[in-house]
Amino acid sequence: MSAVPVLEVRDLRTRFELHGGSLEVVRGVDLSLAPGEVLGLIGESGSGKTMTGLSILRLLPPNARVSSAMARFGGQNLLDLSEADFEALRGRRMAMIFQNPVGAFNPAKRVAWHLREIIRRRRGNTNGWAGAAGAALSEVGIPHPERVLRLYPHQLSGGMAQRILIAMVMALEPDLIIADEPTTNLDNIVERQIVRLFRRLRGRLNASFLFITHDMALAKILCDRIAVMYAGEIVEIGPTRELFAAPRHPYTQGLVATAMALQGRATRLKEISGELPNLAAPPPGCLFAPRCLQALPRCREAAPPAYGDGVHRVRCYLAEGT
Amino acid sequence: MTTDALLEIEHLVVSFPRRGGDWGAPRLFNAVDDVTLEIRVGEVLGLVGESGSGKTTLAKALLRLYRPSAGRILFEGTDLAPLGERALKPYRRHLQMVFQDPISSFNPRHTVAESLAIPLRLHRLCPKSKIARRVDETLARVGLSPRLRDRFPHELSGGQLQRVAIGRALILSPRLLVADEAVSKLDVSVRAQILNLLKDVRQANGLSILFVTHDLHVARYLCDRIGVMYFGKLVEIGRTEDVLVSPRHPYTQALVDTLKEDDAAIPDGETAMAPPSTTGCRYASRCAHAIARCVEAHPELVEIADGHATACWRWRELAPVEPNFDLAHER
Amino acid sequence: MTARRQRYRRLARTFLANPTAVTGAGITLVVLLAAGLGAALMPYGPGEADFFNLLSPPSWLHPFGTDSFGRDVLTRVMYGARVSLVISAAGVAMAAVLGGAAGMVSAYEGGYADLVIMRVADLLFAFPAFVLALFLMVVLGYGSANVSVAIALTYLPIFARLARNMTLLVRAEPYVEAARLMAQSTPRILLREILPNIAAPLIVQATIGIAFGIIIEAGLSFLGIGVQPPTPSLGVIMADGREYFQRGPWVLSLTGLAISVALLGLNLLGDGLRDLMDPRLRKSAAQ
Repeated sequence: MSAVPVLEVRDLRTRFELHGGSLEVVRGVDLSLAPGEVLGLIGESGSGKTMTGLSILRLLPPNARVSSAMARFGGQNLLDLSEADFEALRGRRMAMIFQNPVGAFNPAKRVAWHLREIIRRRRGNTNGWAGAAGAALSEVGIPHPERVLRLYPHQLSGGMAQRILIAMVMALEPDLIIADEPTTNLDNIVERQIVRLFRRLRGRLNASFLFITHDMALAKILCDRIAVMYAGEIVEIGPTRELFAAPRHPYTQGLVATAMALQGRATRLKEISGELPNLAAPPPGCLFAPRCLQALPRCREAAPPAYGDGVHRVRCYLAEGT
Repeated sequence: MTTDALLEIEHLVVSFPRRGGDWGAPRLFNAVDDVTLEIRVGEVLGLVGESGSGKTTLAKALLRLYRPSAGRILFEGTDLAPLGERALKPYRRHLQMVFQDPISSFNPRHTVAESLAIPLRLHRLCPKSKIARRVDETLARVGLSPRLRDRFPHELSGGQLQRVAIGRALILSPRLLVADEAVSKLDVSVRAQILNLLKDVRQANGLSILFVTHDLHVARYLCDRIGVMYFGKLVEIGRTEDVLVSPRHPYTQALVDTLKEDDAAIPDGETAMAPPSTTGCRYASRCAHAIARCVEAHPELVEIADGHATACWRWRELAPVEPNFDLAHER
Repeated sequence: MTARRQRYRRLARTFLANPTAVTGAGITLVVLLAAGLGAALMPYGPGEADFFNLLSPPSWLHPFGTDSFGRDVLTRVMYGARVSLVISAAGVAMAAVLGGAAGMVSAYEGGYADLVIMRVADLLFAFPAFVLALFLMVVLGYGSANVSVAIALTYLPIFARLARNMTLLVRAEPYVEAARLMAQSTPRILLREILPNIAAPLIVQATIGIAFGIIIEAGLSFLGIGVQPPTPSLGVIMADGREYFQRGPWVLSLTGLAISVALLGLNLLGDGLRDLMDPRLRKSAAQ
């Protein structure tokens, strides 16, 4: 990697302070995003993937404690920044696309207002904003932009809202875009249209994406690299093709197998039996061991470190010696 | 009427008042618009479509959670459509449902055991002394430990709760189980568990399942036949492999295309942005192959091959060039 | 059932961790004890006149002093508190049961029932509470029972509206649909599925309602059209104390103070209960 990474995070930990104690939902995550790269963050509910995204953007409620050994954005040290400075940086150079697009809008303001605000943030003024707004909406495939500009958020369908959000992100031209399950609530056809838009977005801007999803098939289409999370940790990270062709961590193997089975010709789906560990009182050793069919005795004693090179890493004893 | 039909829907219409966008007088719009189909004994029928297609409304109307505006719902010779709550009571146990979101489908104040016992008590299917045992049996049947009987819904995971939901639906020994996006809100690994459970359950009980979903992969895995809905109309229906491998309706073709990695064939625009005409084919405004006739009148459902029917004026000309064998169902 | 017991224990723990709730509960408890038992523990009767100590200021013998008849004010306040509380609680209970039921039915059935019930509620709502109560007392006649009725009618629309709004939310939940699929009858659904899930805000409203009911009763009795003397109620005692306020300010002031304390306790308790309901809902939703 010759260029300065857009985002570099080392040992990210997020803990929630609750009545009965504390809950660590992100347990030592290391991430690095090169300019223009799309990194997929895959996991199921409870994996901590959404929390990771929110932690990076500091969008968590006050009872959350976020810490990291290092956090750099385009070379700049984020940990040194004050609240105000970080918020200014975030507003201008980072963007988040949420699962529920309608919730990202101000319900009392029309679409036009939202676009105007973004343009103001980008340029510092609002000269000619109407033309730019109309062009942005057309670019994301919205017919009759003049009509849509006058709508209020509650009048938008999920697909339309998501398109408008993407248009806003395009207008902002940030360096980092974190998309959290952006197509989960959308129908098949609309979902693929949005994915197509994402590709276009990626081509237009030189932004880096952190694409958070549970949908393996989507990740395969969009992402350059994929990180698989389980119970707050990244258990495997590597180039997309390699990960799908030869997954090394048993959990990844299970996920890939299920995704492929649904797409293939199986008559019986392979299950990953069991449930997530209780994060308030995690078992010793590897967190996936209780559900792992390939678990060794040492897996239950001590948590494995990450093995591998800078490109493909696996947090599993089975990968030792690679 | 075929002899192995469990439930027959004839020209079903379910309409709702919809507020006109500009302070107009409330107009009726047909969420389900003249749909005729049958569910056979022991089959899994998939109902596929996007939001707004009317698939969920159809499923709920079938169960008489809504009152149809027109049409008949024939179950064992009786038309359920005009019946009131009291008359429906003896039929209710045969028609059960598993909902999309497991958490909200249970009363948060009832334990698992209570949720399972209530239907037994209501339908007097079981002497009081045996209820506890039936509850435990049902939990075992869906792969859960009887230790969970005293838990509250929020203490179980989505997958566990959905199993309880299936157990609750089965406890009355119904003939038809409606699964409304029953796995959409579950994680991928759990989805597999639930789908396998549904397969087993159907095998063991000779149950019919109406599986409503927008996910074609899931439909392919589970269903014997698939019906495709668009804007309240049934546009295609047939055996799973026929519909997925050789779809004959342009909308079905678009849906099937989403399964490919290459998205060049995906059409632009979406349902909400292109309000369809109310007289002609509902898909005409988005269809690449629409001709004048499509806008004038809605095509009839025409049987093309054995059991495979489609509602498109141009079905002959639009035969798919390459059948999509990737999707062939291996039995 | 162990699961239920666990749940209540968890509820109790959350409750005890909330300072507002504990303070409110504590004060309310003291007030209730004073109202319930206090008078019995006092050596004086509420009507017992001590002619040697007419209108004497607070002292060890008479912590709240005596009134113009030589009656111990503290004893009278305790009796009065009991009367006021009972009247207010009865009124609020009536409002909660009738209003709540009306609201639930209104929301569940919809259609004409909803229309009619809500317009009646709106009509009652249109009047400011105290004005409505005044009007009702004139129409119904004076006396303790009618004060309860007046309080009930004043609060009816509030409970009806609250119950209706909550029911509208719950009615759309899949578990209610599931209950219909099980062929549960409408009354059963309202009672077993809906009511337990809307009870929490109703209870909070009731707690606060009792507090304001006391104010209404005190106000009406102060004006002479509520509880009639010689029955002591907080308002009656205050009316008394107002007459000779210059000579013996403690009667009015201390009674007013007693009312304030009771109100404080009930309001804090209500707030605490509301806090209890809220994060619990959020927590269980997050799971």
